[in-house]
Amino acid sequence: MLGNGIRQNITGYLVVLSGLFMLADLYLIFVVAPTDAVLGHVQRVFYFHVPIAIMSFLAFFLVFLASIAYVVRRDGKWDRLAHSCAEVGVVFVTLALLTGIIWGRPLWNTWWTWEPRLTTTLILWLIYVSYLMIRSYASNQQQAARYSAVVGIVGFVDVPIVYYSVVWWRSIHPSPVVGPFAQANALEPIMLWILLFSMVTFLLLFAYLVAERTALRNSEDRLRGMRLVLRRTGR
Amino acid sequence: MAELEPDWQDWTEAEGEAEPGNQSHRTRFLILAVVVSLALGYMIYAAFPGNALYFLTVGELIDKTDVHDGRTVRVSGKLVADSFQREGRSTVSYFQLRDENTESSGQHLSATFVGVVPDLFFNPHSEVILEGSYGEDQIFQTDAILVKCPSKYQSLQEETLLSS
Amino acid sequence: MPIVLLQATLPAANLPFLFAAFTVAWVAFFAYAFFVSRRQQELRKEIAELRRALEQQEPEDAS
Repeated sequence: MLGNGIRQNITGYLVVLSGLFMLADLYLIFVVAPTDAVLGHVQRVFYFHVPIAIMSFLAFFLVFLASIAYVVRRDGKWDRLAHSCAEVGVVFVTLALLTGIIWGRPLWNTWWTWEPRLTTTLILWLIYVSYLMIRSYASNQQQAARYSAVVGIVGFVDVPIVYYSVVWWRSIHPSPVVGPFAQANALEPIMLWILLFSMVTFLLLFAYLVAERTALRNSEDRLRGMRLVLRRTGR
Repeated sequence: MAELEPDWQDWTEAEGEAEPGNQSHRTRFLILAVVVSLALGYMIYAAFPGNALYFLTVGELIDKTDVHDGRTVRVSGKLVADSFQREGRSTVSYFQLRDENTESSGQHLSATFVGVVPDLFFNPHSEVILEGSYGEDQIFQTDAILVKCPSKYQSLQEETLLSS
Repeated sequence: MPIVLLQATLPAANLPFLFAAFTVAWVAFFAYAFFVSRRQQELRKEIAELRRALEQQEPEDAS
């Protein structure tokens, strides 16, 4: 396990790095990226919306792995990682939904429609919000860790469903622009590069937020442990 | 004196003994489970109301006579070029949709809509999704117009170069 | 090219939606990072205070 000093250093580097990348990303999105021929300037939301959605998938994948590790090892550090990734993942998936709702209005002429990807994403949001609610309802830390690990493992099923929803079912979303099911030339090369840069930017931001949240969870645990010791020793 | 900063395993076990899960917690979990499953059920119902497909194509809608009973359906297609007409200066409009890749042949669906039509509706790249009902009068009564994203993004410069 | 013609070829900009989407994302990330780090500072302070209070009691315990 890393010492506190090193850990703080890493968090410090991550916040500076993700800040610099974010500035470069905004420059690329608003100055370098070409204006879309059909959708106009509002298409630029794409460079935020897609990476944010993909980072939420990454977050829930990490929740899945850490939950399995917790069930096998029963070690608190895995629960801390799973919990932190779940909370940061909820922030990301909420923003994927919100940015989608906002640019859906000019693009689709509606804020919301019950189509496959929107529905499965809302289900994803619901699963991980209940993950966090289960934790806050639990009477003790081990119960919280056990119950939420189950949700973290089973709930991950929805992530591939969200990704494949546009391949399996008819959707108002376009087919994937990156990944195995991407159409050839779905994006111009310059658009693809900016999208990839944006993904790196949000990966750094995600790493920073998880590092920060895990550190907070460590403090929460230390304080809770100390209080318990004090209560038991009658002070 | 006990160690001030106990191991996670130790203190959580101690905590578990001190505060075991009790009846009120079980009730809360149960309520959460019920609320979540109701919400999931509603979403799945909203997404697939009697039909597993988000939309039908023009050909499918015309062929599937069992949905021609005034129920709400979605149909997707391309606007037939020059088919859009307004009734005088009102917001009542008439237009036709066709399936993609059926430029000359194929069936056309006549539709009517009352209201403001979105900009992207007229774009030749757009695919249109109509929400409404199709009855015996063979005219699709449109309640809402949605526009499907193009599956490719292309820059403005390249587009104008290509078309000029 | 006359301006009118140029405008006819340009798609709608929808700038309010563009800025709304970026603002929502930015504000949410900042707010989340801010709340997490502020809570972290509070907890660190609490831990330090608890520790100091105990160290002052320590000599009495030993006697």
